Amino acid sequence: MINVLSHYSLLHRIDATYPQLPDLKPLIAERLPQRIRRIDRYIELCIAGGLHCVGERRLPTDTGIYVATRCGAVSTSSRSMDSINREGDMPKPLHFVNTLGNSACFYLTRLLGTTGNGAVLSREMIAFEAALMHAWLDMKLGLVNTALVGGIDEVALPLDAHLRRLDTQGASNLLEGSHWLLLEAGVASGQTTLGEPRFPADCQALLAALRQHRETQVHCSFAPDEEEEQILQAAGKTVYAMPPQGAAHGVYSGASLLHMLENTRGSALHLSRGPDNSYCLIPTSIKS
Amino acid sequence: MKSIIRYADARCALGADLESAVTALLAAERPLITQSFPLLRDPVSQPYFAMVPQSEVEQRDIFSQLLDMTRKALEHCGLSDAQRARTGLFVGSSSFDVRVSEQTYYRELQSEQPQNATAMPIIGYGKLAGRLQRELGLGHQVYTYCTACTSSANAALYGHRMLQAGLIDHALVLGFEFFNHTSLLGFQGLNLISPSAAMRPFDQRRDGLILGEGCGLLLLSRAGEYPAALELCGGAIATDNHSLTAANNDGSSVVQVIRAALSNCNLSPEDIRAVKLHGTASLMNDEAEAGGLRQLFGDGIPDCFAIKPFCGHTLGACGALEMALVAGSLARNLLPGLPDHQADEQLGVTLPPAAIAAPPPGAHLLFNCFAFGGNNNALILRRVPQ
Repeated sequence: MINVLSHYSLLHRIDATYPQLPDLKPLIAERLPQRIRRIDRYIELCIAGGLHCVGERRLPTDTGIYVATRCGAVSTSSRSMDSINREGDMPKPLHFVNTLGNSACFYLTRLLGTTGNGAVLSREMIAFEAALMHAWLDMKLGLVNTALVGGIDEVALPLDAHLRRLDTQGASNLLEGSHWLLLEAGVASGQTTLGEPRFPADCQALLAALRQHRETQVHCSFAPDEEEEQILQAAGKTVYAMPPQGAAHGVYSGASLLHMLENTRGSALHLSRGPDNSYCLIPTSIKS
Repeated sequence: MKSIIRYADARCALGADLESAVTALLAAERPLITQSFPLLRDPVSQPYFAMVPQSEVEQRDIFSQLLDMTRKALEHCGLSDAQRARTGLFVGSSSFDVRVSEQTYYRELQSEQPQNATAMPIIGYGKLAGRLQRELGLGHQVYTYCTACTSSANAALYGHRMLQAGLIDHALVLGFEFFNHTSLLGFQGLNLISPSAAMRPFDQRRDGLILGEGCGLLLLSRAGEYPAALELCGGAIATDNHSLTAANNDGSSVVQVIRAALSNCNLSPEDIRAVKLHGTASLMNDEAEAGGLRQLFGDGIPDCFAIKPFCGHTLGACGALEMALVAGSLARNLLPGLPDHQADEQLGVTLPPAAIAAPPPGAHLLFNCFAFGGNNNALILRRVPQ
């Protein structure tokens, strides 16, 4: 088990009819008096979430940083592609470097002053759990004692293009967000703790995994279908699902996990669904 | 606990398979082409290491090429269905399928309704890994790493760590980078491409890098369970906050990650007999790497060698690709040289002018990879005593 020192989640619902992206600058300014120049919205999401999760704490320099994303810096990447293909120009250097997978992580670690293990990784709809798995692994191996785990995915304007990318043309709302956990190895009594993430490959494996856990509450990051409802019932679980607010973004399951940590007490299971009905199950014990 | 490199494969400008690529590497071939960009209003070209075409595969999409390569690895190692279910997949790239996205966008722009064209139409870093996992019947530990030029080195290290932790029995590590306009022109815009069209790391004439495309594949298993000639002992990842696009040229961040890698393997600098340099031939990064090596080894820097002068900087693929080429070279008891090398004496790192004898079995090698965004990776390899 690992301790949850703090958590923070930003979840934005973007109205597809009148798309407005919330301004992140005031949120960043709450934690950082000086303005950072030359960053895009994707980096802003990373900084805003990461800094608010850490709060007033001073992190050990060897803190491991694990950033999950499903889609990366879509706005800036599409701008670079547009420069070349539509306008026949070279991509702007600043745009290009901000398209790179770990640029957002660079800005965050620089602000936090950490120089430890850093990873940016992805795994379709369970990217957040993938990052959490890496933090758990490094703690288990004794490589990392403190870990900051985050998930970020942005909505890129114009919205019609983004809806086509996500193949969700009919959606009336789209979600974007930045979801973070600050973790510490070991178990301290009275703390909220997370167990090892498990990845059942299909429904039968999920049933077997659920039966191994005594926790009765299961919080799903998705709306279970009929077969899944039956499995959860057969395993004797009470199911809670976060109310749908729009088409999920890539790291929505991170929002769901943090929602559970915020609103639940006692022992519970976080369940998320990956591609092809594979799953991720994380046992938690949430302090009252 | 160590992992063995049970199987390695490579595709790059040097060759369409590991054997041909290693032969060309040790012969110091540099199969450069000039890449032009007809989409641009102003004429632009740059030197480039394009992948060797394969008669059938060359026409296929990225996924089919990766599937061919991974399937061959699993069949060569004879992994049963049950063993595949205990095999993790660790994929690293910096551009993934951006090439396909660019092609799709360009086609849409040329269509009768260009106003509906979507820039960056295909998104999702993890899609290719997910498809490969499903197609190959692999287990549930499937991860995609996107830390620019350390992507597949990080993939290899996490494959090793998951083996150590007993979460998997085998790790299939794949690094790839395919030609795309965004990467090539992005580097050109940063003025990092060698104007002299020669990639000369640690040379007094060095003036930048040359990009390349390539795929590298490694199949790792736990040491002691299968015969192998090379082990991945461990390594480390560390963060350099100096600059988004350049390592700290005082070498402090380079030495930090190497020390962490040595510590992870319970080794000291004296145990290292050879160093695979990251060696991008950019002014600042070679300075940083040399500074780190001098701090660590003092005047006793071990034999150093570089691979990028022969196949280009393959960005996110370079970790897996260069490790496969190192494995292939060691199998021939050789390490590559660099003809016409004129060492920059201020750096203090000299490369041999021709292929040299590899350190003996039992020797450890240091394997460096550094990335934009300050992500540094150092791995430790060991030749298995026969």
